[in-house]
Amino acid sequence: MRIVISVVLVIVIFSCMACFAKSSVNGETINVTLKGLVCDFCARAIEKTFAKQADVEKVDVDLDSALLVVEMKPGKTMDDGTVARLVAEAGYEVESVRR
Amino acid sequence: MRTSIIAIFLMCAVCAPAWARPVSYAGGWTLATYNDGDSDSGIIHYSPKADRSLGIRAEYFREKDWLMTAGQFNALVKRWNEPGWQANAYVKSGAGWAYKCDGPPENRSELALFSGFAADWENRRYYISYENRLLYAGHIHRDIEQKARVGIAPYIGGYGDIHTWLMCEVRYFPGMKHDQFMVTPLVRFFKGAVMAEVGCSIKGDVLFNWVMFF
Repeated sequence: MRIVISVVLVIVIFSCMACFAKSSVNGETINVTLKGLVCDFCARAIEKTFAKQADVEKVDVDLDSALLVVEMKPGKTMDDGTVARLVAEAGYEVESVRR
Repeated sequence: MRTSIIAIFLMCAVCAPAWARPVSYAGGWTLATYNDGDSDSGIIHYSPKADRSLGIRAEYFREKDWLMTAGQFNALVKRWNEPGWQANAYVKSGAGWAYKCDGPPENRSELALFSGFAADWENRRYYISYENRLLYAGHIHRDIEQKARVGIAPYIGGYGDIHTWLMCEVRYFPGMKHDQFMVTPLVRFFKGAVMAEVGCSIKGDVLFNWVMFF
């Protein structure tokens, strides 16, 4: 019984460490729901605008859900105001931001 | 005739408007050619911001055999962004020179001025647009033209897919004695940064438009 508990504890500890390490390596992920995103051109405008930012690692746009997913570089973040400003610069509007 | 004009204006007013976007994203360039039964034109634009663009335009009018080269400024006056749809209102103006390809040499060139309003509404399934242009080129040419479009996407594509639109364009030339209306069914293809439109008017005039964003 003691061995089983020890093994479970080790697995839990390693899992937590792995999760922490992953989030540190991947950086923050910001999910932005957009208004007015109806075409490839809109998606391209958003993608180009965010990809130009030095702290952004990766940008994905899903037309079906009008969702912009911004993956930041490790240790970097972007506040909601900056997200809204960049979206507005591309010509669109933010409906909601989730982190 | 009056009923037809009122019908067009009502359609535009109720349904709102468009044309291939005259303004790109900040730092974006637009290269386009438009060819139809009336004219052939080439345009290159730069957008310093997402609500304006500046460029040059060359347009050859086939029937009257004259050419216009001009600088053009486009401004996005208003954009409505809503979940699932978008609408835009633009003003497009320009100034340059008109050159008549035949006639007495002393009468071949004129100052050319044009200005117009364009608007569009679209979601991922439906599209509707309206555009007008007042064009003045002294004794060479002067007229006002109106254009409206409706479109439907037969399928909804994802980002990066080939998007297809089935459209119908109606152009109205009030200054012409005959053929004031030109109706052109067309197909629009859009993939990545390139858009192409192919159509044929009910009179048999071919339409081919090509736009590239970069």
